[in-house]
Order: sequence, then C-alpha cells, then structure tokens
Amino acid sequence: MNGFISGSRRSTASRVAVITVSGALALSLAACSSGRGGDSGTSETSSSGTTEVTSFALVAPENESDFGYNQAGIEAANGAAEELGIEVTIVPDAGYDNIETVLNQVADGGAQFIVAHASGYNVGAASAASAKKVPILIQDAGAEENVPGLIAAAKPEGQEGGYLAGVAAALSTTSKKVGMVLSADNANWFAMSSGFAEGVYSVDPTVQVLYTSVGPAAYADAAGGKVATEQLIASGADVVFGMGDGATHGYLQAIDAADGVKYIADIGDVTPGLSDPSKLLTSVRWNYEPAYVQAIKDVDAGIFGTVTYPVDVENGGMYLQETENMTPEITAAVEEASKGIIDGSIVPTIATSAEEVAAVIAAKGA
Amino acid sequence: MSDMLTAAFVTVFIATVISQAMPLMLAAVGETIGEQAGVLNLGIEGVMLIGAYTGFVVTLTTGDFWIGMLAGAVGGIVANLAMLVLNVWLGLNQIVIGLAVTLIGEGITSVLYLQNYTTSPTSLGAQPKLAIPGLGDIPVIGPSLFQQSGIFWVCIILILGLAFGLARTNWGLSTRSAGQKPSSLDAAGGNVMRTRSIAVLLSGALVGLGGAYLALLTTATFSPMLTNGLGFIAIVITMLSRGRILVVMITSLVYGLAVAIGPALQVIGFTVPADIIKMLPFIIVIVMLIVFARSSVVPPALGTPYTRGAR
Repeated sequence: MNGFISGSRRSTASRVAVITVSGALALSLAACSSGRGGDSGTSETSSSGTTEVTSFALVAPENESDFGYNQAGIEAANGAAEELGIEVTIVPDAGYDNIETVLNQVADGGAQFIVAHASGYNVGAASAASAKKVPILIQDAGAEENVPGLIAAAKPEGQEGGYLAGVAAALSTTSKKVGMVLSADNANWFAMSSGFAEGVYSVDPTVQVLYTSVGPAAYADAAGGKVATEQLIASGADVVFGMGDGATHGYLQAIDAADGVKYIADIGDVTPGLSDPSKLLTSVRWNYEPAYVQAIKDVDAGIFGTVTYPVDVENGGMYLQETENMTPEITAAVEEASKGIIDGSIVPTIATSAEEVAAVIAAKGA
Repeated sequence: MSDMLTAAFVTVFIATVISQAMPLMLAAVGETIGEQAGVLNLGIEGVMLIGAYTGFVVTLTTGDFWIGMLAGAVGGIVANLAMLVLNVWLGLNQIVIGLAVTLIGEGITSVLYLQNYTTSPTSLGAQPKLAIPGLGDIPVIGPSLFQQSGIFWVCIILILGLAFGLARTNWGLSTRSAGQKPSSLDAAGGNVMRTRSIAVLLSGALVGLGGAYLALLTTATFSPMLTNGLGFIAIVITMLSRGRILVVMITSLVYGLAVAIGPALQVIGFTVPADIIKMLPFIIVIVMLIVFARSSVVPPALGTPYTRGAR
C-alpha cells in the first residue's frame, strides 16, 4: 500500500516536472523567436541607412601573428575604429568552417557593420547579410557582387604592389635571380606575382624570376613554406618575395638561416619575426583602413553596397615599407613606378592562375 | 633548367629530404614498437602534436634545443599514459581511445598555442650544425648529410639501437611475443602487462621526439595542426614495414623525397599545379599501400587486450 502511494506521488511529481520543463522550453522558444524579430528590426534600420554605425566587427580566419593578411585586417579595423571614434570587435581565428553561423552570431552580438576578412567567407557573408540585414564588407569580389545596403567588396590591387616590389628586387639582386613563393592559389597573390615579375623586368629583363608554391591552400603550412624557400635560395635567388599567412613563419626561418639573402614580405610587417631585421628589403604593405573608413561612412550615408572599395597605390592602401635597405636609388625608382601606376602609364598584368604567372615570367617583359 | 641543378641546389634538396623524413621516422619507429607489443596507437597524430608543442614551448623558454627535445619525449610519454591506462591496463577499445587521443592532442595544442603565442614572434632559429671531420667536406653529400645537428645523429643512433634491440635482444623478443602470442610470453614467465607498458611508454617517447623534431629542427616553429596528417602516414608506414625498423627508415626517406620534389620541380622550371605538390606524399603512400598491401602483416594480438587466463 505504502509502495502504491509512494509511486503515485512520484508520478505526480514527474508530471509537475514535465509541465514545468515544457513551460520553460516554450518560454525559451518564444524568447528566441522575439530575439530574431528584434534582429530584423535592427537590420531594417541599418539597411535603410538611418543608423550611424557605433560598433562594427571584423571576422578573420587567423590572428595577427601571421605577419600578413590577418594582421593587416586587424590593424586596419583598430585604426578605423580609432579614426571614427567607434567600437570594434575583433573575431580572430574563426577558420573557414561554419562561417555563416559565426557571422550571424557576430550580427546578433550587436555589430552594425561587419568585415568578413577572407574571400572564402563571401558566400556565407552574403547569406548572413541577407538573413540579419547587416551590411558586410566581403573581399576580392567584383562590383557584380554588390548588394545595396548589404554587400560590398574591398578589392586589393595586388598587381600594383607586386610591381613596386619587383622594381625594388631588381635593383637589389646581385645574383640576378629573384624568387617568389606562394602558400596558396590565391587570386591576390597571383596578381602580385605577375606584377612582381613585370616590375623586375621593367628594370632589368635579364634577371631570372623563379616561382614556387607550397600548396593550393597551404596558408598556414610553415614547414612547407620553409622547404620551398630553402630551395629558392639554393637555386641562387638572393631576393625572395614571400606571400603567405602562417606559412610566412617557414619563409622567415629559411631567410634567417641563409646568408646574403634579402626578403620582401607581403601585406604585414614581418620585422619582429626575423632574428636579423636587416634581411628585410621591404614589405608590400596593404592598408585596409581607408577602405574600412569609407565603407562605414557609406553605411552611415545609406549608400553602402553601391561601390567597390579599392586597396591600391593611388589611395595609399598599397605601398612599400621603408627599411634601411631601401636605398635612395630604390626609393626613387619605386616612386617613379608609383606615379606611372597612378597616372595609368603603367598597367601591371593581373594573373589569375599559376599558368598565367608562368606566362608573364616567360614573356620576360616583352 | 639544367643551370638550376647546381651543387647548392642538390645539397639543399638532400637536406630537405632528410629533415622531412626524420620526424616521420621517429614517429613510425615508436609506432612500430607499440604495434610489435600488440598495442595499436591511433592517437599518434595527437601525441606528435603534444610532443611538438611541449618541445617548442620549452625550447622557446630555455633556448636549449636539447632540453626541448627531451621535453618533447616527456610530452609524448605523458600523452601515451592515456593509452597505457585505458588500453593496456583496463583493456578498453584501442581504436576508440586512439582516436580520442588524436582529437585531444589536436585540440589542446591549438588552444594553448592560440592562447599564448598569437601576438608574439615564435621563431626558434637554427640549431648549430655538427660537421663530421673529413666527411663534412665531401661535395654535396658532406654539407647535406654530414653537417647535421647533433640531435640528428643522436636520433639516428637511437633508431639503429632500437632496430638492433627489437631484433636481437631479450627485450625485443619479449616485446614481439607480447604482440604475437601474449599467452606464450606469460607461460614462459614473462610479464605481458609490463612488457606492453614499457613498449607504450617508449613508443610515446619516440612519437613525442618525432613531434619535437618537426617543430624544433624541421620547421623551427610551431603552428596549430603542424603535423598535417604525418601521424597517420606513420601508422601506414608501420603496417607496411612489418616490424622492420630499417624498412621504416627507407620508407620515411621516400616520404621526405615526395615532400621535397614538388617545390624543387617548380623552382627548376616545371609548372606543377599546387594541388599535385600537396598531394604527392599522400599519393605515394596510397601507391605503396596498393603495391605492398599483400605483404602488410600485423602482429596477431594487435589491438587485443590481454587478460591473464582468459580464453
């Protein structure tokens, strides 16, 4: 009998617990649902251009220790926030998986504008911008990708920076061999490579340009980067132009261990990564800050998504870093080339594949 | 093209083959010892990463590569304690535990690295070379083979010593018995659990050394997922080598050759797609698997927990 009563009480208690939990779940779902509604309210304001951006975010696949692309994006975001007096949230090491979810979460976190700092994010960014109605700046896309109020692209003109680096390399080499190493099949790096070869040939067509790649997407392959760079150096290249995110660590190890070799970095400042900073000839610096600032101003003005934001020589988004190895002769030649690029008298080739880079190298400036 | 094949180029090419082969060789020898004792360690990728990260941190802190290598070995032993306790002592599923160790190793080293080293330079620099008098001056071969770091020579001696030990000593016989027929070892008065425990710890030390070699000497830095599948290649090589460490050494060198040849072809003028370069080592491993699959023999008791008196 007691057992029956006890079982009955347990059964009642279970029912109460189930009802309580169900109620809690229902309330949670309702809260989530209203949260989404709230988001869409925010985004409507945002896309109509009536909200001034007070907080934005940058989502990057790696972190600033890559001495390259991620470092440049993060530094530019911090610079833009400081210049505009607004808040920025940096989301580094986001990788490439589930990026749409990451961007949605960042939008839910209150970002009124997002920089999706990798071309691999473009598809996910388009979906997230559409779902959350938050303007997102994507990378390396053409004007056809623009969506008024939601999507626009930052587009580095890598061939211009590569050309300037080529001029500097040709004036620095004593072995008459210079090398390029890439860590991935990346459109920007192909463009930089073709520009680099043409820059070299513009100074001296007899200089041999060597080219090697670590892998199709070996952005962070430091070991592979070291192997490729060592072989370039062993082939006689005394100036090496390295393009790679985390793979740059490997490039720098090979440069550090070699005598008489100068290094040209891309995008970021690699000086802290070299045990002997005098080996740095220069770096093709990418400065995204003007692009970010303009994009945020366009969001405020309600015209975001109508233009592409270039990162080029003309707007100061692409330039060669000053070092003690940049002699007056090299600096003067680079300035001259910069003028030519700005006035349109020099139009470097934009290669889009390794084969096109090879064709530019084979043409020897002809 | 021919003007590119200079002595300096060939020297660096050979040195690259060796430096790429050594981490794999150490890890595969470690796996061989474990497998010969009947313990399948699928966690080798994670153990290598833990060894690499430990060695990297200690070298960065102390500035001493030798201490860093030692720390890598200790890191490998600690990581393999999970295999020891869960597999050897408690008899749990070796495949499941191995995969768990891999995931833990990948996760914990990535998190720790990203937490501690994202904003500071992480270059270890180069370890001083040890030129062998007379041999170090031979053209091409001298600088590429006989001007290696002292760590390289210690590792080679260690591997050769283990090859001898596994084939010709009582310890080696006991280890192989534990993988072939543990009940016979038990009946002969040997201690199966102790034999397997020693093999697992030694295996962990060697795999950890492989990871440390990769971080300290091959790459001279650490990055998340540095091993890039090397641990799994080590498992394949171990299975194909049928417990013969000299075969492990040769197949590791073939892997090193596959890694080095891609960039070399590009530098000397061949337009090789980057995908092929990255795939080449794995293609070679797959081809080896296909060609030598029939000769792949594993110890009968591999992966089987030993319970004394059980039928």
